[in-house]
Amino acid sequence: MAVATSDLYDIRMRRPRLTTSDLIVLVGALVAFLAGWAIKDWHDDRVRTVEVATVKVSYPRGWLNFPTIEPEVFRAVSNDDPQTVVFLSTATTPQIDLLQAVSTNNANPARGEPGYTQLGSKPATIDGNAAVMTDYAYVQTAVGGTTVPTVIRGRQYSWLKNGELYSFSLEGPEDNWTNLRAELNRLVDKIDTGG
Amino acid sequence: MVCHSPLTGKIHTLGGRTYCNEHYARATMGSRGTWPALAAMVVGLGALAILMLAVGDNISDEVSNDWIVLIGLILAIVPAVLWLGVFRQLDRLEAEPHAFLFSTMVLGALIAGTVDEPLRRNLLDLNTWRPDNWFYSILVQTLTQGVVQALTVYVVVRFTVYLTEEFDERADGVIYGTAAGLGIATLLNFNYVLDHRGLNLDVGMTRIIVNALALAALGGIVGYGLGQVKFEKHAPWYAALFVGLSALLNGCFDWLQSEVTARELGFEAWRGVLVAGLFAVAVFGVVFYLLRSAVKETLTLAGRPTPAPSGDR
Repeated sequence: MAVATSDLYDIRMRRPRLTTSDLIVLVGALVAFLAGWAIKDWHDDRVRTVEVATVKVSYPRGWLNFPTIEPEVFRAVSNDDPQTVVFLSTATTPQIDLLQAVSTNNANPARGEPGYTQLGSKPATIDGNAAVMTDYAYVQTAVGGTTVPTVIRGRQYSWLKNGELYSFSLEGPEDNWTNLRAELNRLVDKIDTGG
Repeated sequence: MVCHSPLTGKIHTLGGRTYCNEHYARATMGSRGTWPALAAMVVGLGALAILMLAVGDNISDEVSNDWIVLIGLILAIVPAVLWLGVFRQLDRLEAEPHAFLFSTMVLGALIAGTVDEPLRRNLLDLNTWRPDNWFYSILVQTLTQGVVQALTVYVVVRFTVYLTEEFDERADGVIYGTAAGLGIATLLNFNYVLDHRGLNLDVGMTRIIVNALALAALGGIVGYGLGQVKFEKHAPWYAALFVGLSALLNGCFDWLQSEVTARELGFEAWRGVLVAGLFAVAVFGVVFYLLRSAVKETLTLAGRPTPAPSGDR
């Protein structure tokens, strides 16, 4: 490797030639990368499915299934962040109009939280049923101590079936909302509202 | 002919000069600064980690976030500067092409910034990913982050300095592979500092040192494979074997780091540096042993005694 300093700019470079060895490295790396990507996607997409109140809902594998208090019938909490939760709640309703049912009683416990604000609603579909998607936010304050209040973002999907108003929601800290929204879309696609 | 002795058997040529088996083996073992520079880098970074663990927290408390970012960015290039500086000092007599080393580092950083990091952070979200268990952690990190970073070192060395006459020793692969690895580490450290404005310098510096030690060692492995391929006849998959080994160790190291530093800060940050230091010493130790073995084999074939460990040509 030793050369005279004055020769540094006199670089004689052989013409690059792609050898069999290079091709094995490049193709092998591409195949390995694609395999790793596929394995990661498969790993992340794994869910557990439970049947509650005639509805089959899925939640990410590794999340903890918690006991519930009515109107909730299902609740799972992220293993990484206790503020990130997914839950299903139900409420009996005489309404047959979905929008009216949601506006009068959407059975989402978040409505009672400080600073609860509906950010917007739009029509959606859950397993072939007409549904309403509602974005909301509230502030989660500490029960005690010196914890800084956190803004929680949530999105719920509500639909009517057999006189029941179902609301499937996912909530989590606002700073992770982009990731959580993608997670919710994945879970919503797997909801089976039952026969 | 460098030793002016009559040539018998296989004739080796380096930079237009012919070598007997003995001097060829010595020449390809590495220049005077190769191994001391690596040792100095590991020791120096260990000492810097101890210093920053002792005073970093106090500095962080005294200065504003903007100053911490500035100090962090300067500290991010310390590992590369330290290695390059020691190498240059030890190699004064042999006029090594430090511009090549620096360029290799810069190219490694540029490819890491434009290809590796967008793939790792934007496409795969590996920076926030939480695998279920050690198996998925090692498997996915090996096949994605490990492969991409090892391939970066391979491409940077193989299609630049490897094609020049400067790459004329077996150990050059280790040197330039290490340089490319340090370039990648520098870029990762820049990103880390900019992502964590207001970080504590004690913990931040240990992260910087861990990245540098690990990626320097992993780059050295890929470079070793390239050095062997250039100066010896090997099967076509030989270089790929070292790219794969580097990727696998990358995945294992990543998981090990998350395990030893997972709890709280402070003492755990120190454990991370310790693991990285031991990892770098082990990897470079094995690479040194392999190079020595290759030299010994060459000399055995020639029926000559084994040369001194390093740089006595």
